[in-house]
Amino acid sequence: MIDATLARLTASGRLGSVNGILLVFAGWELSARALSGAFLLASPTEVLAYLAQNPGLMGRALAATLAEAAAGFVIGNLAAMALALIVILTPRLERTIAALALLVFCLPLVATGPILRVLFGPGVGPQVTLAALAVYYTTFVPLLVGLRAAPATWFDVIRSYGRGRWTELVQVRAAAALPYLVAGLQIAAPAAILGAMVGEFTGAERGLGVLTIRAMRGLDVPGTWSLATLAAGVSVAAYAGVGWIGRQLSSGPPPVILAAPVSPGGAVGPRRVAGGFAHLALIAVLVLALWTGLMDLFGLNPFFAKRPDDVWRFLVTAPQAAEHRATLFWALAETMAVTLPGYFAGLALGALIAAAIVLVPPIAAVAMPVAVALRSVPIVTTAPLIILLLGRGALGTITLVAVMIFFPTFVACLHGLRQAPGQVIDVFDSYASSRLQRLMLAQVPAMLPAFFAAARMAVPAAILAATVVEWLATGIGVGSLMALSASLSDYGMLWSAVAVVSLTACTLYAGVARLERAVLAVYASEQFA
Amino acid sequence: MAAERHPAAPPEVTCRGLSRTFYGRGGAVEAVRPLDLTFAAGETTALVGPSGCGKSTLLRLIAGLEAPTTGRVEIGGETPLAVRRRAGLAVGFQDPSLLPWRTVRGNVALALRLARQPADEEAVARLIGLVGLDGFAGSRPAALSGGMRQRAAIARCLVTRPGLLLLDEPFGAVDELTRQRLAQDLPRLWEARGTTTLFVTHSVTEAVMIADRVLVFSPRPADVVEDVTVDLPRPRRADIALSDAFRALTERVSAALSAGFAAAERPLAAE
Amino acid sequence: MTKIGLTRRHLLALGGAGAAAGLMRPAPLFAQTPVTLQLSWLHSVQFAGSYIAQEQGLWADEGLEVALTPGGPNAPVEPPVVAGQALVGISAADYTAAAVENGAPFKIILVAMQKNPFTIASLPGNPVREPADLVGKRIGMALANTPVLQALCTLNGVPIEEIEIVPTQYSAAPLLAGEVDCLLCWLTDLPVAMAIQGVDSVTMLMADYGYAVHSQTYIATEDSLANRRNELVGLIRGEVEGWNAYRQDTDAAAALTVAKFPDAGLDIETQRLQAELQVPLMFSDLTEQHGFGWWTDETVEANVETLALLGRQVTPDLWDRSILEEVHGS
Repeated sequence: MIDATLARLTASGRLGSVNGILLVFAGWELSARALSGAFLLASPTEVLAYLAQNPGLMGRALAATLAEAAAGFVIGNLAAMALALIVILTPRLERTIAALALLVFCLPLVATGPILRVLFGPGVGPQVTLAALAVYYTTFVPLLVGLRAAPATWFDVIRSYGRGRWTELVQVRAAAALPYLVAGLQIAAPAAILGAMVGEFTGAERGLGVLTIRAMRGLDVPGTWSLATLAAGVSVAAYAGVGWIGRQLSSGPPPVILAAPVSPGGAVGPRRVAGGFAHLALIAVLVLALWTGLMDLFGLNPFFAKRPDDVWRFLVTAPQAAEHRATLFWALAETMAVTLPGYFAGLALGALIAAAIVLVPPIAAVAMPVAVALRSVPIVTTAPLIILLLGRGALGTITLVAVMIFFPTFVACLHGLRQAPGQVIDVFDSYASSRLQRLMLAQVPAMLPAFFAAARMAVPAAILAATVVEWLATGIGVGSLMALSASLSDYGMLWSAVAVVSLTACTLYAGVARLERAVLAVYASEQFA
Repeated sequence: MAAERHPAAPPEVTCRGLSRTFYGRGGAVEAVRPLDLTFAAGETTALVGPSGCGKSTLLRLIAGLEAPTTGRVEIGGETPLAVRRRAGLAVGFQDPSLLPWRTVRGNVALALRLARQPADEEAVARLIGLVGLDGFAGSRPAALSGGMRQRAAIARCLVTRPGLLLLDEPFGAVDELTRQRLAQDLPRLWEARGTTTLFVTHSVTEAVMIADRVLVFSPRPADVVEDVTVDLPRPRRADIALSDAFRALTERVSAALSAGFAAAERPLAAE
Repeated sequence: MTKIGLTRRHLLALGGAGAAAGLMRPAPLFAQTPVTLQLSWLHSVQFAGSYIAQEQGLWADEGLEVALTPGGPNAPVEPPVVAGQALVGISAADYTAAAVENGAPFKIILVAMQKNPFTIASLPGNPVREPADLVGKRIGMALANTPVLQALCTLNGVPIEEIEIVPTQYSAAPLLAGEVDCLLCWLTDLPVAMAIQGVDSVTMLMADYGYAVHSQTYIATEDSLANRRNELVGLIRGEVEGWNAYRQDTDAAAALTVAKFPDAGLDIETQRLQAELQVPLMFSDLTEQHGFGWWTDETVEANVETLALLGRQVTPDLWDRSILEEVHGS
């Protein structure tokens, strides 16, 4: 979906986009010059000079990180495809698999990184795994929608010849899913690079992430921004490359992801509430069993690998349990105080800029390159500097959270705005109605399914962004608490934080999903037909 | 009811040298050949012709939704845009194009809003009744059959009391029985108001039943092969279809259609 | 024939490379036991003694093949030691105490940094030269380090409530941006970065004002101390010799570090300065007298007291000198 939007924009205004990119670079250069001496921002010319002076070092680091990201990309996406296939072939498992997939996606990487390092030992294991974890969910969800995005009559044709689900899958679903898969893979490409870089924080020998830490602490501002630029550059290239391959494979533009979610524990109607709760209980039991089972399977030492009963003891029955809870929930409250405003700001900004482009199309020439660049600059390289730039208050973190979720929302909304049904726009034109009227009465309501799909996926992304910023830059909130707990061997607190953060993310996701169902029942009732 | 709101007098529509060519990957496609046409004020004209002959394009050109390659359209001496701006025309599309999140009532009322006319619940309710959707005013399009949606779309066209009505296969998705009923009932609505009406149809019977004049088009590019005046008395009831005059007219229109086909196929046969 | 010839030449080339490698490191006389030393941070001259031990074959002589695994901002140090993946880990007395409190069976077997590297760094225009200067200043530090500042204040009678703590993560940028007046950091880290960028700074080493917490402490489990003694002795002997060599020529140690890790993005000037600055932290009259890594009951007592100020209750038996005693032959 992103790809089609971009393609259309570049086709309609390639010259405008070039101008936009030049404008971005000019703005960057000027800001850097204005801030020179503050050790905050390096200008594009400084970045170019740095890259020219250190081609070997940067090249090797890039190669290392790209290799990790590529491996994670392949593994994560194959896992997503396998999960989607299982769901399609055994629809009964959908709710369970979707819930587990979401939960794993919501695990905070500040906490998963060190565990993976212990599991894998030296090498690229954690980098590849974190890259895979960063991509599988954003591929799984659209792929599942795509595998179902075929008219019922096509399946009737298959069945009328007495063939089954496998033939359906090969003949109908695979083709229908392709554009959705490409859209998922596109989002996955920059995410894999970010995942690999964060993985390198767990004790890697080489890579862009390693150099980032070094440059940050060494006050090497040109180095930091060169790394950010390089990572952003390859992210944009990977994004564009996947889009190009997708265009070669598919004929039509990929449709937007419309389907409302099967909420992880939720029920659709009041009659199914009981079933919903039973299912929720089943998932809970399954999660606890997997948690304990996997730790036992890998023989993880209970010193750092706390089981569910350890967490229960830590938060509920231990003598200091009340104190533990107070610390954890206060930190969580601090995190939520920046996550939620950032989340809503990012969603609003994404929707508003998309609407602005529909009203005044030339805006796209500037907005599009900025949006792609913002999305692709890995948060880990620039978060501390951006916090410094915007101040240590809530504003900095809120801004970073908003930036992280702005882009996917923006692209989804832009696409959604163009989904106004049939000849509705002609109806508006036949009364010579204004663009604003058309936007408000036809395009915005038509955008809602895409908007909500983006809003759902943005929940884990917002929490991820907030905790990473807290960990690397502001030193408050649950992100910092998790890092601190790990360094002080307070693994009871760490695992409690993991459990509470994941649960919070899933709950918010389910909340958005519920709101989505309520709104779409009015605005896109055909989704439930 | 017409007297209460003083609708604009129906306009005369003139097309001068009007043509439309589409330029695509496969080269240029001429959809409408340069046409000179005049549609008299208050007259109902049926446009018949084979599928894809450019009738819909002609309708869109007259509404100004499509820019002509050559020539121009005047509606009562004004440009189509000026007429659209004061909601002087309404278009009924092949697809009912209802907003799925609005009820039937909401969709009909939307036209008033788009036409910058005051909200008029009574008029909306009356039109919904006239198209036979009483009891469905609160339903969303997804809950209606194809024919009901099309009737809702017609109500939407009429509620703004346009002087010019452009209907593209308004009864396309309707079953035969309903179609006959609509063909009898609906024209009365616009006839009473003295609307200039152009409608596209595939049905020769329907054309002769409703129209004052039938224009028969050749296959693409659209060109008029026959201009038939329907001088049957009004109001027309269903049994008029049994009259010799009616039969003579339908035969004439059908013959013109066939001739158009034959003319288009001749070069193919020659090759 | 040609093909065979090529293959032979290829094999010869490989053999040649092997021989060259053999020249650089003495060939082991018997089978090497693989062990892992878990470092506490990314590769840098901070661990140069270990690199020297590795490159000069000091561990090979002990029958050990030591893998050095780097740390990082999100890297576990204590868990691999508990899990047995690493024989020895590099921690610090306060982190080790916390881990022990949480059930890890650790002992400190070597103290590489006799003096804690924690420093208050400020700019010459607005310097902090002694603890009393902190009053009325804004200090940038991780909130997690508040107990460290509290301990310093308690030790020196400075009212902590008159210092404004600004939560920052580890970077000198807030100081240079004027957001804070001073930073709580390592002597060998941010001040070095500033110096390399041409920024002079004033440093006040907290160890000089009573903050006695052993740093860069080597930890092992009680189980390893009981059952893998020979390996521990071999590993520590190599370390001690490596660090002694380091002291002879810190520039060479810096050069070795940069050459050994070409992908780590190390800057030779930074490494040289850091290597030089950490000498007074690691070597003292005490180590002069007893050997590298040593401690006495008095230094342990001072540590126990400072750790108590940090909220860590430890007993002197957290330190186990038996390995060092075997190494230094006392």
